[in-house]
Amino acid sequence: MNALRAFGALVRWECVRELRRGETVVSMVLFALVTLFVLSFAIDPSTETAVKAQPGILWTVFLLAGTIGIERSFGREGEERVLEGLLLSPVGRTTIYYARLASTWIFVAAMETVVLVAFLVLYNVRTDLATVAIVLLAAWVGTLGFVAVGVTLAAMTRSIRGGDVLLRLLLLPLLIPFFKAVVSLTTQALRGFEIGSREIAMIAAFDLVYIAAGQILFQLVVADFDG
Amino acid sequence: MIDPVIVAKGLGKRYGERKALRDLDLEVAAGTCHGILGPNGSGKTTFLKLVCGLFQPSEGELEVCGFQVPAEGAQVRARLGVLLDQPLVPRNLSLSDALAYVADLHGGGIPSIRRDALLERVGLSWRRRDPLRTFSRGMAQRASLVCALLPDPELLILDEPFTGLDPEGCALVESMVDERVREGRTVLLVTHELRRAERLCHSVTWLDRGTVSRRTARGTWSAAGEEGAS
Repeated sequence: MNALRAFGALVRWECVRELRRGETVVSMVLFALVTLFVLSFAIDPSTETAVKAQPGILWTVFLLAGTIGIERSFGREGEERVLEGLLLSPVGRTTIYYARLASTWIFVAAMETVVLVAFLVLYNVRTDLATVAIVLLAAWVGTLGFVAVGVTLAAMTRSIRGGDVLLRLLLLPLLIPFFKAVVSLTTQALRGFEIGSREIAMIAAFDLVYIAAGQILFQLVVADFDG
Repeated sequence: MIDPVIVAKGLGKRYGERKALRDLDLEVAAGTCHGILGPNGSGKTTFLKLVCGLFQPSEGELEVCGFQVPAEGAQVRARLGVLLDQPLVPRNLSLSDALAYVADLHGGGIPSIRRDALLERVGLSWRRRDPLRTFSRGMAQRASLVCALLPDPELLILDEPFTGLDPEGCALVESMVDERVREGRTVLLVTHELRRAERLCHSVTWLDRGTVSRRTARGTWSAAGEEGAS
């Protein structure tokens, strides 16, 4: 079976399922908005400290909300059987991994787009469209590596008791180098500085390493699939 | 024996130190219904999962539909239809969408007339627009059967297919198994229902504690079956 065609079909069906229920994107967006809202009371957005902390706040919210989407990539009700069905189909394991990565990325990227707009309003960030586009692009590109490692960890922890907590415990420390790079890049963008090539290189490297590692690990995770 | 569809030689599967399946030699001829029987924990599910490619053998060789497992897993899976205890498709999809999903997983190109005929056959045409999550256990089982048969598989694997079905549903599954065999397709049936197995299977492999305890052919295995079941 043509891998590209299977990939397209799987991503399309994941999007159809999400459109029918809307639970993943809606959960992520609501969680992110509530967190942003609460933090806006904890840290007065008009102070200098808040302005310095804005990129960190934004990315903390992206990561925490994004983890909900990643967890649901394999953790929704009945998902075990869906994964089993996929593994019993002629679709290759690599294609299944990339399709699940792509669909989860689409959901997380959609959440980030909505949340970024809310962030700019709630935190009274005055900036131009070009800067917003740079921050959004950095979020989308950076999210690729974040989701790649997350989807694999979600597949690993799916059937473990307390797997949702374990997923976060494993995932968040792995994201520290990436987190530093994207926060630094977002700071540069929001303050109107030139974007550093070091940060871009780090995000790209993070994406490549985690996508490759995720693909290999996923093969191992599903090699002996016992529901 | 002509054209074996499943050939296992010295097949074994270990979970750590425990041997779930050991030294299994088995050949299943094309165009027959072969039964796998045995008590709980005898290795039936492990064997099924090895044939499907969900598990990797720890030892021995396994060939399904002329392809090595797990090395040529994708080719094998393209020729399999599998019915397990629950639907293997997203339950928030309608039955109609679930069938389109299965067709896409098999590369598309399955004519809608085949889907309609199968739905009509199992009596689910009237529920085609309803989400699978609203189906009763028996209806879900019928829907799973349609999903398994949709790509017209060379080898149909049925794991306890009568569970949750009413007498009419059981008769339907039996007649569909007979039809598959008449069409020259092969069926691998795992069941605890001895009488149904006796009616449907041309040959049976009895497993016990991970190994073959006896093999029997149609017409000769009833007494052995009762002995094995006791």
